[in-house]
Amino acid sequence: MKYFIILLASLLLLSGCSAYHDPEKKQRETAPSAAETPRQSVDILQDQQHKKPASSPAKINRGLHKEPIILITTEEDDMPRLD
Amino acid sequence: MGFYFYKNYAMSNLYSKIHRLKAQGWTWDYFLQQIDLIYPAGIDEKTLYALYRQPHRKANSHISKIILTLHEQCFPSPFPADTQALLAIYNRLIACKQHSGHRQDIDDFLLFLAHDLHFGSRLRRARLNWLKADIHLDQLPLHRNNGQGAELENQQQLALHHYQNCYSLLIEQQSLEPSAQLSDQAPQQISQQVLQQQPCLIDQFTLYKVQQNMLACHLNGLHANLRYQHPALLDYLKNSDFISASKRVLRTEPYQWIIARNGLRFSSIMKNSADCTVFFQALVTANKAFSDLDYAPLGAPAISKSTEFFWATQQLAK
Repeated sequence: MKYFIILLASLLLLSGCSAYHDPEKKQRETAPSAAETPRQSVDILQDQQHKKPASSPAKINRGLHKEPIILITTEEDDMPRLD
Repeated sequence: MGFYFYKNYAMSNLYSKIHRLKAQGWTWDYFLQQIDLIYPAGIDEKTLYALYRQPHRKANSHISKIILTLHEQCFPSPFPADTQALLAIYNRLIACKQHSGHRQDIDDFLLFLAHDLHFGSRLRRARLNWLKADIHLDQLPLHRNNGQGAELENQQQLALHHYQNCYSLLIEQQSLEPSAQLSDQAPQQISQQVLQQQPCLIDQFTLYKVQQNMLACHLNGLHANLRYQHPALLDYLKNSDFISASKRVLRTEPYQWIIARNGLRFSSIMKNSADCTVFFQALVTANKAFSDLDYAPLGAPAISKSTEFFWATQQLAK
């Protein structure tokens, strides 16, 4: 009985040690779950889309002095040309 | 009420196009055969009849495309293909609102045209003057809305100058064409033989379009609330040939209800009772539905709902 308990304890200890050094398990523990990975990627992408880089004061000043973009603006009342 | 209905007209006035095609002497069977040649599945004949009879009827984009293609085949543009291509490029450029280099591209266009419009055939020079005038005309609303009076006047004068050049070249061309004497005749009265001999017929409608654009130069330079009382506009209408040109087109193409409606509008503004009667009768000739002043055709309000027609409706009621 004494030897049997020692044998069982040794086996448990050995299996515990081998599991501790198992590189695959280590990877599984450190890597996020399959369900989490795309969600995080999407969140990061969305964050990048929503977060606009803060304009520096110099950039803001340049924007203020920039010429307006010239588009062809027409009113509803304007007479369109005929071609 | 403004001119927004012209946009619809400018894009595709299918009612007039179907009438112009039919006025060549086509039977309905022949018309449907011609459509089958473009689109073998054809279109429903009832839809075609309805578009022919009802100016308020709207066609879907597929039918519009078929009619436009057929019209283009039967009535090709008299202008050289390269000038038509250039105009198409410009129209696509200004329609693209996302394009950030508009100003530079328009300047480049103008630079090219300023040099190129002196070369080539009379028709080529006419079309390039037309295009350059279009570019200046398109700039008017921007300068008007920004209160840039000097630049507005400059663009207005340039547009008028080039439309006038174009008009003179077209008149010269028309006088040189062997079929010039036929220009007052309806297209269906001109034999196919003559059209084949002289495919570049400058018709009254082409001349009318240039004149309407010149009128647009005056109108679009003014804010909407000032337009119809402004002495400059009234002076232009009094001294220009616009009303007479409208009557000439209606003699050859009586189904052009939009031209009749414009004629009635400007006769009303000019308070010319006789012309109001002429153009109202022309409208009813174009389609009897217009005898009801509450009738609203495609893309246009009813005459009874538009303040510019108020004087005319009072005269017609007498």
